[in-house]
Amino acid sequence: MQDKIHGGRQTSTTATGKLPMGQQPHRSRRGFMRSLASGSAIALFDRHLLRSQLVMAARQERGHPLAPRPSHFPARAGNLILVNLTGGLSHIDSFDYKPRLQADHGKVMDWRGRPFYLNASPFRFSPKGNAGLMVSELFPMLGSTIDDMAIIRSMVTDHISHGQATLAMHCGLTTIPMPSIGSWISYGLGTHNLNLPPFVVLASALPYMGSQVWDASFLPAYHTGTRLIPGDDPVPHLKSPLPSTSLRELEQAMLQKLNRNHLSGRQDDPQLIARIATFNTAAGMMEVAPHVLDLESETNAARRSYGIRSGDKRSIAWQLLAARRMIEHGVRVVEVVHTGSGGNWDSHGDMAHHRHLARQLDQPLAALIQDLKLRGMFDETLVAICTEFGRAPAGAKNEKGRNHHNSAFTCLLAGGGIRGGTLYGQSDDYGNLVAENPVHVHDLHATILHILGLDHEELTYRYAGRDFRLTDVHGRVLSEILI
Amino acid sequence: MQTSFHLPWLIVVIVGAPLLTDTSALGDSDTNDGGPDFFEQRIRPLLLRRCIRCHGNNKNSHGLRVDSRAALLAGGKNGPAIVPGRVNSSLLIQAVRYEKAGPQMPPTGKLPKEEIALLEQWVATGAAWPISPATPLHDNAKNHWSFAPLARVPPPDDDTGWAANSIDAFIVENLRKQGLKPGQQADARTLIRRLYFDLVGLPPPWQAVQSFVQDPSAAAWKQLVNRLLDSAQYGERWGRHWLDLARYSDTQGGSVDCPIPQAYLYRDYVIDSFRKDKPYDLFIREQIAGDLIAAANPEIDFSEAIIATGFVGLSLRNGIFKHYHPELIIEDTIDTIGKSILGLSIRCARCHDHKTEPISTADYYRIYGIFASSKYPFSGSELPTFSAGETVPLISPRKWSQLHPQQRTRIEQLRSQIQQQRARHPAQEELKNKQERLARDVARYHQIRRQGHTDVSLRTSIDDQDIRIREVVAKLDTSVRKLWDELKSAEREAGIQRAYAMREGAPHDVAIQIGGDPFATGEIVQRGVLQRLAGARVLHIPVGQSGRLQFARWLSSPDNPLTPRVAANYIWRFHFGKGIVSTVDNFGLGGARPTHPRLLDWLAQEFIENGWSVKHLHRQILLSNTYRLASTTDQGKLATDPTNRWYWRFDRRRLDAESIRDGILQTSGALNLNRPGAHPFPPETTWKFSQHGPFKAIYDSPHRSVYLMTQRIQRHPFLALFDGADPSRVTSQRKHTAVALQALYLRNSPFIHQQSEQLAQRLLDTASDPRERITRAIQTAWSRKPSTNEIDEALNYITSFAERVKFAGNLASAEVAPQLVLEYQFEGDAKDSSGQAHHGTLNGNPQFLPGHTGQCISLDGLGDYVDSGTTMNDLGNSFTVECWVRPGPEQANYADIFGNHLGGGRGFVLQQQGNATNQFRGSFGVGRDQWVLSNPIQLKTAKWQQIALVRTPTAMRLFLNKQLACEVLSTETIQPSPLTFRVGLGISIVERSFLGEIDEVRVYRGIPKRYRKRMAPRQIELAAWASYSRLVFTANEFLYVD
Repeated sequence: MQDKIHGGRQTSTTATGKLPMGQQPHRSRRGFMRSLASGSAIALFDRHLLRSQLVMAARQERGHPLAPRPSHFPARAGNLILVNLTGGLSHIDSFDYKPRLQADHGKVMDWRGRPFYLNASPFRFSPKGNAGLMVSELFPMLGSTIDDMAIIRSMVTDHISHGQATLAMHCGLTTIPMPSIGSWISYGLGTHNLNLPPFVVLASALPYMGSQVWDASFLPAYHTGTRLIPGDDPVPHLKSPLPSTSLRELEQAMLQKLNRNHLSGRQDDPQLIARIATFNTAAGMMEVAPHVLDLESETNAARRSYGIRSGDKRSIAWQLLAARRMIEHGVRVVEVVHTGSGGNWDSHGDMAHHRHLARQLDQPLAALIQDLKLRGMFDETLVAICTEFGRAPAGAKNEKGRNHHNSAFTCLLAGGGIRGGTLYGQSDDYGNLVAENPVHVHDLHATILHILGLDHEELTYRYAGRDFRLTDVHGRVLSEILI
Repeated sequence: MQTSFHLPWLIVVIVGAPLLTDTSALGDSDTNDGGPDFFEQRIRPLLLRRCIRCHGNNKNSHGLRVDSRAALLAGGKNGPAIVPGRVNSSLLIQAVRYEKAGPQMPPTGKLPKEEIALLEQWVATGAAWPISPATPLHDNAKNHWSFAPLARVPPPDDDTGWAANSIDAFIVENLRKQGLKPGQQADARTLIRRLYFDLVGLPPPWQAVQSFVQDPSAAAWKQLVNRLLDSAQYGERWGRHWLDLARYSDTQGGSVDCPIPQAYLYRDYVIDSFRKDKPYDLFIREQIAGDLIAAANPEIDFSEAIIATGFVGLSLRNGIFKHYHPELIIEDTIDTIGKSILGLSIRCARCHDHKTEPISTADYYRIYGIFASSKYPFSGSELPTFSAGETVPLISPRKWSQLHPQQRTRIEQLRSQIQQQRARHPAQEELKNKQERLARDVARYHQIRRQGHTDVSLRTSIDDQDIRIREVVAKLDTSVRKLWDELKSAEREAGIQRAYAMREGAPHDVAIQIGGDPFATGEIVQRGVLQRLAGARVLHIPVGQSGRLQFARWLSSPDNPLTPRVAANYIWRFHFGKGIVSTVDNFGLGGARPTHPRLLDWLAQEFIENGWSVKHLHRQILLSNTYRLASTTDQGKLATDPTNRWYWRFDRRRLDAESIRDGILQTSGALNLNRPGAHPFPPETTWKFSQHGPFKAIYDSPHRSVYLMTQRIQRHPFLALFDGADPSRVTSQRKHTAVALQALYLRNSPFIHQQSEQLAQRLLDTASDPRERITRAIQTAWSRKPSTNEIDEALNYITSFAERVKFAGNLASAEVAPQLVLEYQFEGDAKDSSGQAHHGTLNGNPQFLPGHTGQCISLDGLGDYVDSGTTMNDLGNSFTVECWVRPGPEQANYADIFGNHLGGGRGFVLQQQGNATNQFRGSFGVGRDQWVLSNPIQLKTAKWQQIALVRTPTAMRLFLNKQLACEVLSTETIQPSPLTFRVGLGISIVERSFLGEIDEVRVYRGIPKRYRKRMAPRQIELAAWASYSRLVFTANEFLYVD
């Protein structure tokens, strides 16, 4: 199936001489997991297996805190890939074309009681997609998938500092750390796969506010995002220092034996049973996670389409393909952080810095969308491409860089439930303020939850005497961008 | 449209609460009769939740308020909202029904049917509003239990004879009411283990267990309790509980998270206060106003009192400027005090009157003013700022006068120089101008707001100006940095330490910040306390003082109904795992009700009467029979009381993060019980932390976990994983989660492996009899004797683990001497120099070039390879292939270095993993198209490296430069291949030939010594005992306390 799609050379899993998957210990649970994990070519088949495995697990581990829960209403997508562009992607240099800004370059604008000089975008824009939406040269390939995306050009957020705005984009509020959107979704829906965490964050470097942006805060801790650090050892403590599988299995078996002895006479205690279950899950992860994260098992064509070079285990391209594989294997929410709190989209000095960042991101993001479509996963996965704020259209005279800008910016949504090729909201002629249909971060969150089948007003958690929500007391679902 | 600038996160306190269905907690009376209960349980919450946001006292849309019956009867612009008894004529009902003619409420969407029905029923039955028709919503607070003064509660008589003390009498009385009886007492071993983890957070030493098991009398128990309460470890354990509430951190928070090098002084103060059993009221007073107490009482320990105010000083910081968003710093102070001392969520009143508690916004700003009149410390931020001058020198006036005059003069000179230089700086002018402009703009903005308008652009400009002013302040600070460094070293020489502590500022009352916006101010309120709370009085703050001292006195007054109750409840909670009030940080109307209100009051009263002695309360609790109940269960009781609300047993609990780590270190013998002092932060002069590169560090330590450096932006990985305190907020209730990442940590982390090896070594060193070792391990870790059966099982396990280690290591004892069967030196040809005459045939057009040793063969990757002409099938399952190799920059997919494999699972090969350039793995076929694969190893491009594939009967290993690189265990037999062995290719497909140079190929039957992995018997023994030790640490018997 994969061959047909990608038509790559030497990709067939049955070609003579090419080494298949090894020992095939299909009789054991481990083998079963491995066969589940490794067969990226059989994604849809996998998902059915996973689901039945999960139903079994849920039955066995009654009351498992991560057991899947029904959504509030039928979901349009079951998973979320959140691509977080840290530092502030310039809307007016990417997806929000402003001809007047180009024309009025150098003119003075009064803003916040001070004079500012308008600075045109240094990038060329050209029409893309069926509707001919203008996209800058920064994103030639992503631009060509524009018919699959909804573009929100009227985003606003409450703060102009990185930390606070990043917190808002993840947790709703600018000041007090609250549960992350991924934690809320995990809490609301549970997981698809008990052998993997429900909410995974791929982050080479910490974003602004560090791990608070994927913290479960007052939600139960198992909803905390599990941060993987792309590289040789992405899941903490996944690798056993023991040299062989048989020793690991022996030790695990003895541990379970000791725990069973301990449990007898303490039969009623669900917390002891849950702890025993975590060791099973961990053993599952030790088997499954390396395979899920083994991108070598993808076809060359797939790897090439994302732009992953040989030996690469770190790039954003690697992370986005890994994100797809994790979603495929039942992770509910994957956040990909591009790039962290330094060396990011915060182009104060020169907008040209956007160029090499966009070059890293453009191809793999476009490939991700194509890949999801080819695999039939596009309709059940929501891809949200977000940034904490935009960049200012005006500054010092002929300034090459741009400052932070929270009163108008752009975010993109694609996939499950999204009406492709939709433009929503307008910024003013310079991209300075929202001219029409403002979308606050709370509204974006309400919409994302809605697509995942969660009512943002119903998804509450009682803490410190009151019921908290991701959207606080705000939030409007943008039904205009939904199918 | 612009971003709105009110701070939206506190506007409504109750959203979507399932209050309507949750009546269980509120009693069993029939609540649908329209009577007072019906109102309190159904209607009041509904109005609060759905309507009050727009129709309350901070906003009354269309003139309508719904917070009293009178207001509803009076109605708004559209007339009366309700006509009692007449549902269809009531505007409120018409609105919620979304009838076409009138308003449709709430505007965000129609209410659920059931809620509309409730409102209809309420109006139909006369719209009863208990208390009095004109009473606003909050006045039900008057009768709230926790706001009522403490009264003396006599313990009930116990006619069951079970009670050992007054606590038991309360407990058994309640049990009896429920038709329950207390369960059995726990055995001595369980008790001592419970007590040790509870009081000192460590497992009991075996001798202590033994002697208590021999004499578990009441007297022995009492003695044990006293001994542990007197130990230094008690302070560390219970101090940590307070540090949770004090959101203690070694960093400031905000996006930069600068270290606070002096924070540890406060940590140690807390530990010492518990150890010394400092009266709790004094403990509170010192933490709020220690500096003022010290100033007034020369006889007390000056440094200690100053350091104590770190409690306030450690408030969470924001952003990248010094004291940025002071309103949020103070909010954190008020929130922390509210939750940890008063058990109230005062923070909500920052933006609006509290929706459920009797706390007005004015109350909030009364307290706010006290802290706005004080100076917070500061340790640094992104701008080139620094802490000097923002921390407090720890020197009492008396000590100061005793300093050497020269030192005094030097310090005084520097201080005045700093002041002068700062005052003379040209930026002062700039600062003055900017401040004046800001003041003008704020006044203008205020004017506009008062007229009911807003000006977003102006408001944004105000924020901007605020930042610009902070930048100038940073410039001024920096201008005197050198002098400050000099001053600090002068102070150091004089032996003066500094603390991250509070000082008095310019005393002033503050204005209410409307909607929490510091630049949209309303009426000025006098500094004071929560006026509407029962027992509250007006504070008499002398002129020139902030009011912290008076506030601290109010907090710690025996008349304050909350402080002693909240403290007693916290203490109870730490002992039993749950509070008498389950919402330990919320004693307000929104909190839970106590399960044993009279017991709580008795404890609080007992607390006060015994000089606020925490240890006295400990003794009362620990000497009760209730504390000594077994955790075993009883199906019948479980059915009556599934959550053990009435204490018919003790609740089993997981160890907290600190106890897990400390317990492991103690068991392994690695724990250092000394106090470590300051953290090894980099010197302040080198700090260049920013929001882009915040401070982040993890410091390893053999000390108790309470001494680990903890950060706000990045939580300590171990503490975070095992649900430690969140240093960014009051942690009033630790979670006890069980997640797979914890299991991964317990099985695989270096810490666990190091500690298990340490314990294993200790067992091996101290006992020669294996049975004795098992016994010792179980005694130290699990505080009990093992059964014979357990010892047998453990020994079996250790033996089979050792066997497998040995097996994996494949000791060479049974092996034959290795025999060289092929050797290509490639000195200009492919002759076999092994004497076996397996001379190679050249395919393609390989070249001979200078190589690793003499010449080598150079292969073009386009079909060059050497064919040995022999299948090598007679090598069996014990052989070695080694060669030197210098790979080219790029290989064909699945390129081979050597091999003889074929489809169907036959032969062996060293092959590149797909297209992963120069990542090679070994594999051999076992038939039926199945393969055993090693992990890949990465070869360097264009470098000579030696690689060897070693097959033993039990494993396949790859060695890189004679070091073991990877291993896969397998006892399966290689399936012979009909293909001849090749070099530069390992299959019949020439497209997979290798690019690069190869030299000195050797094939051995058997395994040369250099590739035999030998483990000394001692190492094998250690590995097996380490594995057992690991099990001892990670088993539930270690992690849970009965």
